[in-house]
Amino acid sequence: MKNMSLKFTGQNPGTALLSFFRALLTEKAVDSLLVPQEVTSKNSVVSTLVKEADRIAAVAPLAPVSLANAARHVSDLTFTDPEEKIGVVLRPCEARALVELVKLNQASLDHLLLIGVDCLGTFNPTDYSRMAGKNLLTQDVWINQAAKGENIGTGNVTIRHCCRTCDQIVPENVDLTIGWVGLNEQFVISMPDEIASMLKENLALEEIEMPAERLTLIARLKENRAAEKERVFHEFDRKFDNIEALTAELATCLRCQNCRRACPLCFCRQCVFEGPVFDHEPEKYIKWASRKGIIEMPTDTVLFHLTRLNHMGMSCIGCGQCESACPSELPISIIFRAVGKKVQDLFDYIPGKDREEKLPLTTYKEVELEPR
Amino acid sequence: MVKTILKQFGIPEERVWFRFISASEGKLFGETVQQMVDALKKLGPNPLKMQWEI
Ligand code: SF4
Ligand code: SF4
Repeated sequence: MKNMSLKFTGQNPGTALLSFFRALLTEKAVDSLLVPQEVTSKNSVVSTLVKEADRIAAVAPLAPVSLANAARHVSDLTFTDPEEKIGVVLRPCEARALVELVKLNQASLDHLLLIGVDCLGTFNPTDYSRMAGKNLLTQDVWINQAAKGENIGTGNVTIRHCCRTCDQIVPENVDLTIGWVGLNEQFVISMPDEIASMLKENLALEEIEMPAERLTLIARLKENRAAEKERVFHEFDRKFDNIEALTAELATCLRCQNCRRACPLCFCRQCVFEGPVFDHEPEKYIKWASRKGIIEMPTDTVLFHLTRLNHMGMSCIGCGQCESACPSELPISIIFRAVGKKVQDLFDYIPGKDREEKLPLTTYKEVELEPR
Repeated sequence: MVKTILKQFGIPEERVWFRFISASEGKLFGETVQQMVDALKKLGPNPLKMQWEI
């Protein structure tokens, strides 16, 4: 691996990024790219799959918004052999989700170049489009504003609370990392030697030592966020120590299942909550209502979340997409992350961390059959 | 796992039973179910019984 500096003195960071992604295609480091680009209205950023180097003019992988966890798209592109080399751009939580999807046999890394990017968090998509529409927030504004690790927000709008408690920042388990946090007028891209030699001339890259300011800043930010995470999980633990508190919090859940559809780990083609199991006969509702005097419709909302926790809590990598998708703005990412952590701790398992480590529920130890 | 999740929300673990019973152990199955019913009767109804926002 080499740390290569891509300078953008006197130009927009976005322009330098664009030349980097163009070079990946023209120098044939990859055959295609899965990369976020600004939509024509410039109000938001979506994932695109690009074959032609001149079709990535709006490339914006560092804009602080994420409409979907890209690991999902990687799964769509690799569940059978794509027969070409695809470069895929991933934030830390997307790289973690991809590790889990590979373990669940929903994606394959065989033909991929994983391009990780530093992430200091993303805004709720609606907040982002409002600010982007007024030109208050774009990829360039964000890189200039957030690279020092301060002012993570614009006015009183801040990044999603799931991101405020995310202590990763630099992705793991990727082949190449685009670093921008803690840097000034340059990106430092850590890349395999062969890619460095492919791109070096075209982009005037210069090999450097990783700047110490970057490492210090990242360490400090990680520490702050880990402390915030600890605080939030602890608060959750105290507040939700009884089923009444959970039921009250989830009272406005519509069971629309947006959270499940947005979750990169909920990969089942048919969820049990979409099948006949929860299509009850009318008389059953009436019976329940007669027994209690009153029931909320739709029913089974708490059961829906408890079931989903049980099915994928082990692999919850804390991307917060469930929460961003919720029309009732319920704090479900905290519920899933905090309870998920407890389930993961039972097996000393950290989802998204280690490609080689097996999923706890796919292995079995004889001691597990002994009565406890 | 199920117990860990339910315990977080204050549902006591005695309400969930896991037993390994092979298909040939019919008698053991019957006995276990009986034990379970007795234990649950002692615990009384589920606290969620009267909640409507469930
Ligand atoms: S997205 Fe929100 S309202 Fe819809 S099912 Fe999930 S928690 Fe309930
Ligand atoms: S449950 Fe929510 S936070 Fe966890 S992986 Fe799924 S979408 Fe991300």
